[in-house]
Amino acid sequence: MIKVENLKKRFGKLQVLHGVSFDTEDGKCTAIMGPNASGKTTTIKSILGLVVPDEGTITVNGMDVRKGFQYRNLIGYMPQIPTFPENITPRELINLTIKLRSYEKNYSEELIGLFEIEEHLDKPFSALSGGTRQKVNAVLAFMFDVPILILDEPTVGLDPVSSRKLKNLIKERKSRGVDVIITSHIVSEIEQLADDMVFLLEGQVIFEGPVKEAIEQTQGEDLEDAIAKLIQRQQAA
Amino acid sequence: MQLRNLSSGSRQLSLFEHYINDIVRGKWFIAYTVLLFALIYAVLMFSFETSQAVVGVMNLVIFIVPAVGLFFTSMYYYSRREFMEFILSQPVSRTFVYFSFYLAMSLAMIFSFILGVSVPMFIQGFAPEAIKMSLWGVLLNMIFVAISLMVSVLADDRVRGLGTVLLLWFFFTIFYDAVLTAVIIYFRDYPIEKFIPFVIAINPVDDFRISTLLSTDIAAMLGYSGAVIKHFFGRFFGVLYVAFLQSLWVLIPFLVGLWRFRKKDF
Repeated sequence: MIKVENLKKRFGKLQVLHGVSFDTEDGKCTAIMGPNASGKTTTIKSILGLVVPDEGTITVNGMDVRKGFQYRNLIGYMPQIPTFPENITPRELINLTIKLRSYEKNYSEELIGLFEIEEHLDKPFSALSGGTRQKVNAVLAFMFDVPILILDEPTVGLDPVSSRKLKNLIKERKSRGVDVIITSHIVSEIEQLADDMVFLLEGQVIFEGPVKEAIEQTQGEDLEDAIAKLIQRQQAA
Repeated sequence: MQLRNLSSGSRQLSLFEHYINDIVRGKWFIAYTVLLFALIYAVLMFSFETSQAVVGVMNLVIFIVPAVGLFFTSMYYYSRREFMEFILSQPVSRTFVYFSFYLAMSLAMIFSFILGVSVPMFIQGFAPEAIKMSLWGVLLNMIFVAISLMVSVLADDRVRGLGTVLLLWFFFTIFYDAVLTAVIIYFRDYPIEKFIPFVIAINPVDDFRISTLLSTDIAAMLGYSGAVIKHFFGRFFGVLYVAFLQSLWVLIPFLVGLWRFRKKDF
């Protein structure tokens, strides 16, 4: 479970987060949504300790993220369009990640089979397509039995078959009680996967709750319509 | 969820292994080592006396090693900047990541130095000088990797970072000598030698030159600042003093870089 309270962050003159607060629950998928530059990536990076917040607290399963790094052992992270070094191979990267983690068991073999990337394991990243890189990215995030998954635009660059496999994987982990946090611009994907939604606009949470509630509250036809109405309502206020 | 008891040391070792593997198989690293070997070997072929050999090698080293240490560290850091985000999203401390990066880069540069400078000196029969030069070379490499890493961590922008290391290289290898010579000539009627022990602290390249020449006892080539250091401290304490300054040149940039790295947004 992740608890974010009154998170504030400024980059130079730009205030990116204005007191963001929300909770996520085990066994549920929470979508962090919002237009470009609304603070989604900064929020995720703050949870991972990559960005140091100016104010506020974040706890991951009760551990304050500012007071150590061990909590990151609980998180599988899939960054958006990752830039892996061009000269190293997926096998080397997978092995490095295994060494940096404290898990007895990993599911890398099963996932490599699932995404059919065996033949690419010993090629340097410079020789891999965007889609294959994204599959390696998925293997790295899902290969441990972690209680929390943070997925930043996970299906970008994937073909429909692989995208479907990844979504099934997310659903399976969720059913096993994993706390999944996802960002995506594909509304249909969020409708399929997410239970809850945190909607950010200019660094503020303008909606937090179940996806269905967002549709009901705004009397939208679907989630896309609900999002449009949420933004309009906020801009009018 | 089965967790194994993995010590921080073991994680640090895997990260260090990753960085060193990544660096030493880079084409630029192999090219640098081979080129350095060839240059030093060529200089030594035309050196018939020890002093000639040491000064010839030293003059090449003080131009090449700072430049390569500064540029390669900076370029490697910026090329791995985004991958650093992936590493930092793993359960490792920032101090460990910084230390592994610094250690791997320093050891790679030292390895190049030993192969490219010390080995040809040994082959050509300058073994005692090769050992002394290697010891000071270790410090020289560690200094410039630390300075470059500090600059790269402080400057988010690659162009600004590389521009800064270029300026530093110019200052340490060219401007400093010119300015010092001008100051000595301008103030020749004043007892400026009293300030020399402080002035040489400004330039680690000068420290390397003085420590190498003092330890190999090639006094004729010491130059003004080296002669003053020898006169002030004697040979033994002069070497110790310069070694102390060089240690500070490793420690201060390393710690400033670490301080910034721990607070940096990725």
